[in-house]
Amino acid sequence: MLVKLTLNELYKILAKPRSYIGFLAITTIIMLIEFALYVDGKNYIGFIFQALEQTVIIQGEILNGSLVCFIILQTLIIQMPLLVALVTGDLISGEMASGTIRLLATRPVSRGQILWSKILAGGIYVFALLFWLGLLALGGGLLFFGTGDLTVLKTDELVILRESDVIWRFISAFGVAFISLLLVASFSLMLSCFTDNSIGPIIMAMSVIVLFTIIGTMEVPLFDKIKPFLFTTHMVIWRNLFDNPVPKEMVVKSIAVLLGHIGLFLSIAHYKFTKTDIQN
Amino acid sequence: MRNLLIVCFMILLLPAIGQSPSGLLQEVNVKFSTVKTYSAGLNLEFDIPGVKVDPIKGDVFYKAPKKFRIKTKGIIFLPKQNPYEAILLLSDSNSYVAVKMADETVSNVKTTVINVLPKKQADFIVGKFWIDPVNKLVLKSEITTQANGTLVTNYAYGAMAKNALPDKMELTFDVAKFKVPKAVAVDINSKTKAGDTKSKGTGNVKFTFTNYVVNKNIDDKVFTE
Amino acid sequence: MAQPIVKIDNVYKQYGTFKAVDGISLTIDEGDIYGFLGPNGAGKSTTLRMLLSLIKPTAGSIEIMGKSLNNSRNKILAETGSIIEKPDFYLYLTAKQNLWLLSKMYSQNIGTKRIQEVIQLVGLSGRENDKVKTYSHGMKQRLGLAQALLHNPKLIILDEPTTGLDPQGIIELRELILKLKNEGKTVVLSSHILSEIQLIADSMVIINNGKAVAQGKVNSLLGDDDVVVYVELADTEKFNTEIGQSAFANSLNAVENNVAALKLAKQEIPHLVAWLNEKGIAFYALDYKKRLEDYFLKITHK
Ligand SMILES: Nc1ncnc2c1ncn2[C@@H]1O[C@H](COP(=O)(O)OP(=O)(O)O)[C@@H](O)[C@H]1O
Ligand SMILES: [Mg+2]
Repeated sequence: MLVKLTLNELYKILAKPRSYIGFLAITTIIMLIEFALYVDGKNYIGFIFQALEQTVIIQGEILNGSLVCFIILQTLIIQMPLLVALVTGDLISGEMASGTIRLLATRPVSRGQILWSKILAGGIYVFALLFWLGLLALGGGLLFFGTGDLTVLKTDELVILRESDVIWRFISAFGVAFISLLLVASFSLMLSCFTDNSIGPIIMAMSVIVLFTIIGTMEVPLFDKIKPFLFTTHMVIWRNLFDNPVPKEMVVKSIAVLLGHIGLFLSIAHYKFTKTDIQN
Repeated sequence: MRNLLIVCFMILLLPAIGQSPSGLLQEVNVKFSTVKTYSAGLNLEFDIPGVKVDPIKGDVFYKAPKKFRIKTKGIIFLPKQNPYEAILLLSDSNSYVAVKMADETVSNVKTTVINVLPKKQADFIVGKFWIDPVNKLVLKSEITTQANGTLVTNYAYGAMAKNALPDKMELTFDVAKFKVPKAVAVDINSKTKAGDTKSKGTGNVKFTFTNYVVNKNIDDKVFTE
Repeated sequence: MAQPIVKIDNVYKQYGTFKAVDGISLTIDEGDIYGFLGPNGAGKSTTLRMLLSLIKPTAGSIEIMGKSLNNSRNKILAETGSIIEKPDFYLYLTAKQNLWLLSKMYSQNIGTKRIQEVIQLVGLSGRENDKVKTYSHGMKQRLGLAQALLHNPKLIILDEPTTGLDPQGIIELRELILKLKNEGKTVVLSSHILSEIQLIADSMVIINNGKAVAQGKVNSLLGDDDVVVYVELADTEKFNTEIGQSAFANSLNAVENNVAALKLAKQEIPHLVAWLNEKGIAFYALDYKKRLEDYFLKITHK
């Protein structure tokens, strides 16, 4: 039954125009970045390395598919939570607002099943979005820029990752990004259970993420203490997969924190949704 | 007239062979000049300030007198100065004046140290060679050029010593520490901010050669593509 | 004796200190058309929502088809169809897509044939491939019926199903409800309009302020034994002096604004008229209402 319900939810997601905003945005941004880098990437790279190249010869193509994909990931990952929340924040509250929740809640399926079908459908949506991003970024990158070593510009150093060492990092990074976005999905879904306002949870989820991100990037000693407690701090852990060597303990810890949050949010959502009176 | 001049030169140089600094340099040069081309497998290790990069394997091609090319599938860092600058320099014995310095020990070998100064205005300012007088091999060189600074090279020899081809070369040179423009940096805060704020540093590249193939024709395309 | 299909026992629903449903008990027999009558805000929808487990009672128990709603919710809902308040649908989908999605929520296989069947039954044929966005309220109400009947349920709960329907639609709905009854189904419907219930229901409950104020068979509740007679008097003074000694002394309810109200059986009205004439008490008009109707009008017009 859960499978049928999940397919139902996916059907609804697919029927809603807003579900395509994410795909459209991703496609547009990626095209733009790839086009810009194709046209002007050499100058861009030249500018970054001009100081270093005064004393060293850098041989090999820095501007390649790996770098393009990394730049895209880096740029888009900020928007992704917003695109995800746009769909997942509406899954429960949207049905509450439109009254269609009654159509579901008066059928011979438990509230828990209804919720979980939405969670699964949300997860699949997130996966599809990320997959599309990966496909365009990596696919487009490799197609137009070729393969090669990945140059990662950290604040304090330049990390060059050998071609053979890159793919697993991208795959893991997408995996971690997926978990991060699942967190966003479950967070907005949880908020969605507490209101019958359709856009409230979307705005709320976005605001929290933006706020946490700002706190996380501000260089204020007071904030440094709370940073480890913000889930957004752990959502950017995918970047650390491009450090060499990968700070494994840190990554594993962050993944655990993310999964813990997902568990917490979904438990709250489950509790709330199965107990709530449907008044709409 | 010309012949006379040559004879004069010969006479002038004669006593130097075997003992004089330029004579020693010549002997070294002669040994290497038997090599017209070579190719070899290469492993490169880097130690560049502000840059973290794994070693990489590749191939190296050389064609006398000065065609030189390293091929790898990835990104590599090389000193601006051609690593063969030292050899090239020695090959034209007319262009410099050699001055013998106090002996020094390099890698447990007693070496003759020879300073080389250009006769005329040239790109290189000063060269310094540490030479194993027994095996006629350069164990260390230090070339300072106007355009590309100083390059210190340490050489270690193995089976190809007969051709003066090293198994290992370690190049040390000055680099401006890499600074990522703030606008494009990725904030990977995996460790506490390093206190290293030196803007200058020393770069180091290690070459390890394997499978030398000597004097087998190499297509010129290899060097241009 | 008919089997009870719904048993509500002393059910409460409290919001803060406000009791939306204040201890209702009732029994609905299988095969009946059962009416919930009450003014707006009486607690009808709240009660019906509790039957569908949309909301949880604060106290009391509900048994449907012999099973406790708490323990056998899914089994009960598999045999129940409903429209609660507005008929809401996925506006961005067509009627058929809406029904198709809902059909997937049952363990039995409800094919497109059945979907077409209910579309036909509620008279939406020809519009089933239009987005619900384009539907009028009446059409949505029909679609609401279609989704309620989709899985051929035993118990059908319709909350104010006539709102938004045109007179023709109301007649058709009534016919449909009777047809369902003939198929052996139990239909529970609510309304704030007495005639709607009276015309069609076998049994009913009148709810006011969350309480069941009267319940039973419609023909006994709204029978002729129990009417209120209004006499608009020309000579109130005389009436007041005479009535005390008359046979109608105990029937008098009140005299207000020169209108006397008396509780009587319908067949006693001629006697009352005869007495008024005999005593020479002049009056302008005499009218009667069934007592429950009278009561209901009072609570709805307050
Ligand atoms: N969630 C709620 N919170 C507070 N009061 C409510 C809530 N839901 C319904 N009510 C009140 O309960 C009463 C009964 O409502 P309802 O059952 O919808 O009446 P009906 O359907 O008979 O018109 C109304 O006074 C309504 O205002
Ligand atoms: Mg109501």
